[in-house]
Amino acid sequence: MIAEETLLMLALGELSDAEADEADEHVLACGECAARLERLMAIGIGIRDLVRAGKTWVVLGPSMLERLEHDGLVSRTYRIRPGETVPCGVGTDDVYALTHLEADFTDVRRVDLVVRGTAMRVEDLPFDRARGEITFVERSDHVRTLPTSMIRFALVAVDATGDRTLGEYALSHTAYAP
Amino acid sequence: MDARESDAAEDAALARRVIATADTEAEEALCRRLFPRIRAYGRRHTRDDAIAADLAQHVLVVVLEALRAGKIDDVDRLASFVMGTCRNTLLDWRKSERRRLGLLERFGPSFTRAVEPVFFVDRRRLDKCLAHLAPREMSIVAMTFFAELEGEEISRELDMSLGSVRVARHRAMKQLHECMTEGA
Repeated sequence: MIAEETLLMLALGELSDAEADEADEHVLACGECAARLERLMAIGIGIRDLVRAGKTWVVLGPSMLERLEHDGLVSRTYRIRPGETVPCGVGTDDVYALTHLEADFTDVRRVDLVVRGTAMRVEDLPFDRARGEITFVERSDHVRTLPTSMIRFALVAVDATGDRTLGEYALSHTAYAP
Repeated sequence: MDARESDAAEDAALARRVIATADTEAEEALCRRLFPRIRAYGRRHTRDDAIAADLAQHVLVVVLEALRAGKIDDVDRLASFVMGTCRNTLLDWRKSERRRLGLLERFGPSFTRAVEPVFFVDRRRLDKCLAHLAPREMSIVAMTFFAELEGEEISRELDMSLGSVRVARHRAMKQLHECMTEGA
């Protein structure tokens, strides 16, 4: 059996050409390793297909956003500054709703998103310090299930001293009407 | 003897039977064993299920042809021959299309019964498993498999070191693999 870590590196394209050749040859002679590699590759293909089908909530960097927009998967875009409320809705054919949350991330190491009025807290979101924003896409199939409501949330900087609110935001959502 | 050595020894024994007597049962058994391995190679190199399955069929045809013609000297190193054939096939795929179809017609019956269904992921289950990933890990796997970004690009976009990206990606893939095979 090849080491699990090596198989993962092979699946993720992290081995050098020579190492990959050696691992490929091993896989071609080992049914168990081939089965495991195939499962890993299938998971990767599955993730790609789910993202493409609009079935994920994910924080993005610029290249990923570019790709989603290029593929026509971003249906609506919201940009919210701290303290703002922005109206939002959803249509039948929408795939993803894109949201930019602006904030000042100077000296911030970790950011959590807290949904007000619920126990929901999403920890350690990737953020773009230079642009001063967190960008994420929400799946529209989920948005279509939401009632008309005000969705309030906050970005919170977390460090050893505790929480510090970076911004309060609100989306005034109108329920989907088919 | 580990799993690989045991598999290789069994492959070699079957290959010898094919060389000696063109034993169709041995051919079928060999195809059944090699098909998923070649498909795994194909998936890794093409990230496409259909092409990976086509590659497996094509390579098996070439392997059977070579065995029947006595062109493989060292059957104990069958995997090397298979790998070389995989690599060359992917390089020459378009040029060899006509020959591939002809060979499929000639040798097809030996492996058509050996073809296993592709391991398709249960999308609903994967959807649930993805929901348990940390946001940073979700971003990394989406950037890897959907946007097809290299580790260095991901590390730049998420303001993480390359090492941290790799650690998080490995953790995510192990978690997903466990989640997807739990109870299987």
